[in-house]
Amino acid sequence: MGRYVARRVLVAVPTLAGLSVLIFVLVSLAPGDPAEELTRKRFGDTEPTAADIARTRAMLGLDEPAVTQYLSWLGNALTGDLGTGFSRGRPVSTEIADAFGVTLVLAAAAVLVVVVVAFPLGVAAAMLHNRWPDHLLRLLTLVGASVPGFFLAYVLIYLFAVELGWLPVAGRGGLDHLVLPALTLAVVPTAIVSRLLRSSLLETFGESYVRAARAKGLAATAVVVRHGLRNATIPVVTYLGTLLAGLLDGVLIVEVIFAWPGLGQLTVQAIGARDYPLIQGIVLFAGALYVGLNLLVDLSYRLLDPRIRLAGTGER
Amino acid sequence: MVMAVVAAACGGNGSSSSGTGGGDETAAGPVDPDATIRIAAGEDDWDDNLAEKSSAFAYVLNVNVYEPLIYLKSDYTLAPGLAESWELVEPNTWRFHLRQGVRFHDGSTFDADDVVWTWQTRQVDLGGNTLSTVANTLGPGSVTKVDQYTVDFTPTEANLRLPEQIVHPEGSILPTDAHNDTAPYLGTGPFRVVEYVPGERVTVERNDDYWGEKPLAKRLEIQFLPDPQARIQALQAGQVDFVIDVAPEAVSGLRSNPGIRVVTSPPGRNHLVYINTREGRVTADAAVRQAVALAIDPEAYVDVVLEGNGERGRWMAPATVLGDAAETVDEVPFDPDGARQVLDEAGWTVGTDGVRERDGRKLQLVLLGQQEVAETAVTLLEGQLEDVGFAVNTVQPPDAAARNAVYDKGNGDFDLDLEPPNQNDGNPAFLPVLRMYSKNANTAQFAPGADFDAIAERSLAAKSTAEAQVASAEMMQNLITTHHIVVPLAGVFRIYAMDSSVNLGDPHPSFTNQLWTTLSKSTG
Repeated sequence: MGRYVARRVLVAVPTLAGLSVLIFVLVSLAPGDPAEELTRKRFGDTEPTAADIARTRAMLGLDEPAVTQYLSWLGNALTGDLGTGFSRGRPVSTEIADAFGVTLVLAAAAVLVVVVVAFPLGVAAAMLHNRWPDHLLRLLTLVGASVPGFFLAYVLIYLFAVELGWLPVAGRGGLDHLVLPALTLAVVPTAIVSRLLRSSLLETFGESYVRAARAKGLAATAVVVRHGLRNATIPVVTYLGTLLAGLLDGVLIVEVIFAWPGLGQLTVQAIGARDYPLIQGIVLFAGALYVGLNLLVDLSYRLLDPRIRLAGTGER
Repeated sequence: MVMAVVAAACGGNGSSSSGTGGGDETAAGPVDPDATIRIAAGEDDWDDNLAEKSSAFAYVLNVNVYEPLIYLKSDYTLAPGLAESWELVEPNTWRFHLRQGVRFHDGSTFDADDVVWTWQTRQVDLGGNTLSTVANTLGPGSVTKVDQYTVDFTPTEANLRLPEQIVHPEGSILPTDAHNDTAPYLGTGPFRVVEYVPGERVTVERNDDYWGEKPLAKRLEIQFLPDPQARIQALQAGQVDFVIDVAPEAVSGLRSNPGIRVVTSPPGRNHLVYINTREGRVTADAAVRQAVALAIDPEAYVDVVLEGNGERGRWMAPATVLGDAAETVDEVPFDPDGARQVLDEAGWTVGTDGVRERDGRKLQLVLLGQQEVAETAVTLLEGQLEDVGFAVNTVQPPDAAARNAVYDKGNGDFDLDLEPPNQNDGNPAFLPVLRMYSKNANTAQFAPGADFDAIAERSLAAKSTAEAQVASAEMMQNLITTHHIVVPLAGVFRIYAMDSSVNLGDPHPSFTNQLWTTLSKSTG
């Protein structure tokens, strides 16, 4: 197991290094000049001169050759220093840590909603296969998986905040502020997980060990919970594991609409400000998160199904 | 000669009593002096880097925490702020007589040292340069203390527009050794900061020791909600009482809601088309520029693009900044037949594809779009220009730097430039001089030449605002009707929405100069 983890970590290093080069090149090729953006922002209505812009460029280190800029950034990144954001003047690692903490709360709430809602729905649909609740659920999950996040956000705000007045529209505060953004984030994954669980459970129902359990006279619910669910959960865990990283996409829109000051809002602001170090830091962080979560998912297979062997571990 | 320029006394803080927009109403009932008003604003583009500018202060709190020496009233006249009066001491010194008895929010006394710190040390010596219109004209030793309540500004070259420029909140006075956006945010203004969480909220309370007219509301809680639709929904849900930056398309829906009022400010921003006159561009031909001006319908622009939330374009800046001289600027008629005739006479004949051509050259225009202006603006302009025989190719750069790349390519790789400039100071010559005076940087595409420069120099040398207004109106007339370099499209209202119990009182055309002292809530 230890060798497997070490190997995966080693594989992650070139993956992240490649990602860092890719980010650096893409960000550099993007239209716009952060030095000019920043100077113009600073000058307001007044036209900055070329010398003003050049001063800003030198201060940001953008007058160095691209390779020098990259190597300097990479060297610092290896020591955990992702640089200082152009737009707000704060260390990128601090910006990301602060924002990620806020996003994590939202993402955890969304995952909780997914688990609490999707599992009962998926099990019910499988157990009532091809009966009207199953058909209804399929229709609902199809709609749920298709609805755009921004549209859903506005609909939920209209229903629960404007019309019913039960929840706040936006902003960060108590638990009530968490409900609508978490629901918005959770709808699509809930639809996917319930469908995934349903089809996975239906597959296990045909397995010999399930048939044997039924033959022993176990109640249907006990068969599903004790024998079917554990095996059917593997693809769901795969999905849930990557869901957290996947939610980083969703939060881009959701955090702006709900004024949730997390990683999504920070990303949008960083892109708008052409804040190269911040953009690079966020993408690298998201990449590392994705790689790490994939590793955890792989390891969790072993816990869910001891028959699974991890490649390269030497286990028999 | 000493020319005294003492602004008319006002209620203390520069608020004017009027200020109307379209279709406004007022809340009835007595004002609640203990009211907390919850405000939804757009994104807090917080920035403690570089020049220490921050949108929480420059964007939403404006001149309410930190105050300038001079206030810009909503009719674009000047009023005493932290300076009670000011005068020109020939040949080139502006002397400010400071208000006595003013205290910062921590109780410390305001005096000349704070003005010297803010302007000489921070803006000039430390390179803060947050208000570059003024700071760029100052050098070492330009700002000096005469006595505890008198300060001299001696620009490195004559700047007779300095009092009109210094009104901007970026020139507000900070206590010695303090920086904007550094807690505890000590100003002298009508509100003091209670809490500031960058990117989330800022809360201010009435400064009961304020020297001027005290705020009507006790407390303002400002939340930053970046999404415009969420701001509207927050108002509809009762989560906030007042919304800043309402989109024009939301207005009709809001006006149909009896519990919500919409208030608009007079125009402080103009939508304009600048036309490139450089050699090689098709618009170097004055007939082509005149045809463009005649082919565009400003009234349709207001109706379609601004959904009625603006005024037909006639000037480059708000009419009020020109005073009585505004009437000397002629309105360009919408006359597509006239545009066709001008093009016919100039030898541009309609080709088989409907696009005019001359000597084998198509009448093809490149329109430089603008992110801050709705997509419908481009669609409308394209349609109207194509109607008289132009072909239009629109370029939409993603940011200012990309725009400038287009500007800098050759003689400017565009013919028409759509822009939405604001008038945030009291200098009537600000925009025409900034963009068209040939001795300024980056004006080559639009500078008409010697005749315009002569008027611009007259505006810069004017010893009174009234003289500057006359010269500025002449500059606009020169640009709009003589050279056809500027096409005014619209003056744009700033739109606020509020609960029916809330009153704004005095919507300022320049948002950065908006005081919240007149914002109130009725007890009913």
